[in-house]
Amino acid sequence: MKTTITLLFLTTLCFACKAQSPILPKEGGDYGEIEGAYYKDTFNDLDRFEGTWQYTNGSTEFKVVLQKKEMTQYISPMSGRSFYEDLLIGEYRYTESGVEKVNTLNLITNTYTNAFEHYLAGGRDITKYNPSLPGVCLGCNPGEIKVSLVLREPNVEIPGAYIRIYFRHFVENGVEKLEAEASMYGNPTYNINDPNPTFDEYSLPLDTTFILVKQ
Amino acid sequence: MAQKSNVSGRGGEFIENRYGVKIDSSLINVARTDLYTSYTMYLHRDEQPTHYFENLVIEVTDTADTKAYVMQYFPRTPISQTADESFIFEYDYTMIPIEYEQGSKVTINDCGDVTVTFCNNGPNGGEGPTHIAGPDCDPNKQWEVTYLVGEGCGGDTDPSDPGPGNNNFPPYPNNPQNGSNPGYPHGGGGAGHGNNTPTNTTITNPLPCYKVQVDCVEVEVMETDPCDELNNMNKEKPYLNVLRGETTSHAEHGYYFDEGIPGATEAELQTQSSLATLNMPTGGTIYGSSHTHPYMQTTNRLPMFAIEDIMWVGKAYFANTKNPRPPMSKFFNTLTVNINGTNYHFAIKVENRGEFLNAYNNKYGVLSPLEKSNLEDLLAIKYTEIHENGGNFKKYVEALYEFLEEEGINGIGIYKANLNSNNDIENWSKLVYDPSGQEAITEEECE
Repeated sequence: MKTTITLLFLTTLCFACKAQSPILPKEGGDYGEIEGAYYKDTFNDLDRFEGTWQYTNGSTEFKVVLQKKEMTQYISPMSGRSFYEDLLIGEYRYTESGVEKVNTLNLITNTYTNAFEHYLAGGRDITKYNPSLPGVCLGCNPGEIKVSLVLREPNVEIPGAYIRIYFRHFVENGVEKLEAEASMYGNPTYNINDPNPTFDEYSLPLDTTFILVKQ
Repeated sequence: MAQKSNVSGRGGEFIENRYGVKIDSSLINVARTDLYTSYTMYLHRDEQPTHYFENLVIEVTDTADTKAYVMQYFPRTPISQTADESFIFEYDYTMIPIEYEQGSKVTINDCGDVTVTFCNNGPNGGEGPTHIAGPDCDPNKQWEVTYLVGEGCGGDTDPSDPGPGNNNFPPYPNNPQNGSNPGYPHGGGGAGHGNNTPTNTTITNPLPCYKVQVDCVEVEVMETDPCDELNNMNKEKPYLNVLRGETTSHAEHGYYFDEGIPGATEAELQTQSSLATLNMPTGGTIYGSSHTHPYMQTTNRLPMFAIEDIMWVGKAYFANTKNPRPPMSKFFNTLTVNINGTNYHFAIKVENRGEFLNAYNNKYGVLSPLEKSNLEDLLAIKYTEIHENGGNFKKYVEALYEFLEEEGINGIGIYKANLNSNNDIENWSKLVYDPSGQEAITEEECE
């Protein structure tokens, strides 16, 4: 009986070993390819982007709140494969000439099963200044890093297209700042038979650089 | 509701003898209303036509004569199976009343309206593409649409006539308020579907042959070799050469190709995107598009296809209004980019129509915009990793193939143009993916 119990205990231990998810650095390559793995922000790069950031130019404001979420699970809706990852999530408000165009800031405390339900989410790719790769972390100076997030806006959708926003973290005169620029990606499409195709428009101007200061 | 049953007796023999068809009653779709019950079953012939299939529809009431029709369906698109064991396709149809002998209980009937039941439940419980309702459709996600049959009800009474149907099947009612794009779930719609079924309508959903597991018509669409299509792109070649001069631009440049327009039309930038992203139209007789990506060394752009670039081929196919629609192998999307100082032309071609349509309609097509952008983001990470490691074009193509395979988007081939000594496109090569090979990507020249 004792032998049986010992064997059972060892077998259980063995299963426990196999079931453990490998922890891999986010920058390690082959992102998301190992089922059940945890792609961890081992250098705490995402921490630099946490906080409340604001751009102000007269009565035009762009305010962003970013938080790091550890070990969020991604499950592919197509293949079902899943892995864990550290991400940045956030919400934002954009006010133009005193008129509030979009404001999702109150959603920052919401907890979603899918972190990408937040109107800002991402940070999977962290690019760092590298003098031998000038095209990788564009605009970066030594020590600076950059991340990209998917930006969405309530009730705005352009079929085939999506928005990515890049944040470059830098310090200027001892003040932490983010350079932000949102751009359209994908392949927006319309039907040529539609005599007056109309497109949704994002409130935040695209291909425009904002410098946000940490609050 | 599908039921296994058997049709026998004088009526069945009469139809078989008179119209030269055989009734396959191994599977019968039954639709019941308060007024009558309709039975739909597959018909086949000794020499089965390749471009249409037929159903026998019988309506039985307690108070009136039994009605019977032959419905001939002429598919205009391949029949694509959906996740809930139903199917999507577009068709023309002809409705032919069965004429019985004098004195028979069943009499000659006037033509009536046809009511088809649609369904839009997705494979995982959400909303999916609109398709013909099958037995597994969620009752809360189905609705009926009634179509008026034109004068003469098909114009002939001999179902052996292989002429085309003369009643166009209306577009899928994805978005009844604005019309719709058959076969592609552009979202929206879904609400407010009409259900004003007249009392004299015939309720029947097409029952394709494969549903009843018999040897029957395979609807053939003549596909051509993607290699031949690419090597014969003489009209498009000059425009690809122009794009090669734009690969270090900060902006995206591109053209679309329309069978009805000589040359090409320059695509315009998306209204809100001042530089980066083109609006690439579909519809009419558009069959191809070519574009660049902004220069990777000076922008945050990456030099390989996005998922939406691939899906554009499907969108263009379904939006094409030419009748008959060109084979899917004619449709393409090309990308001209500079990778590590060298210019490349890549092309996407559908190599397996069934696999691609399954992914397009039943997998990618049912994703929300959020899920789609998430997929694009994951693919972009892979490209970024290659960029950081200075990878060559094969690494990008390998990453794309690998990603498509992981996500179950199959049936796609990626091709590369080869330039001659005059720096002109000589021919194309297929980029073959074999993850177990010595090289994951090898080039096979199109002959």
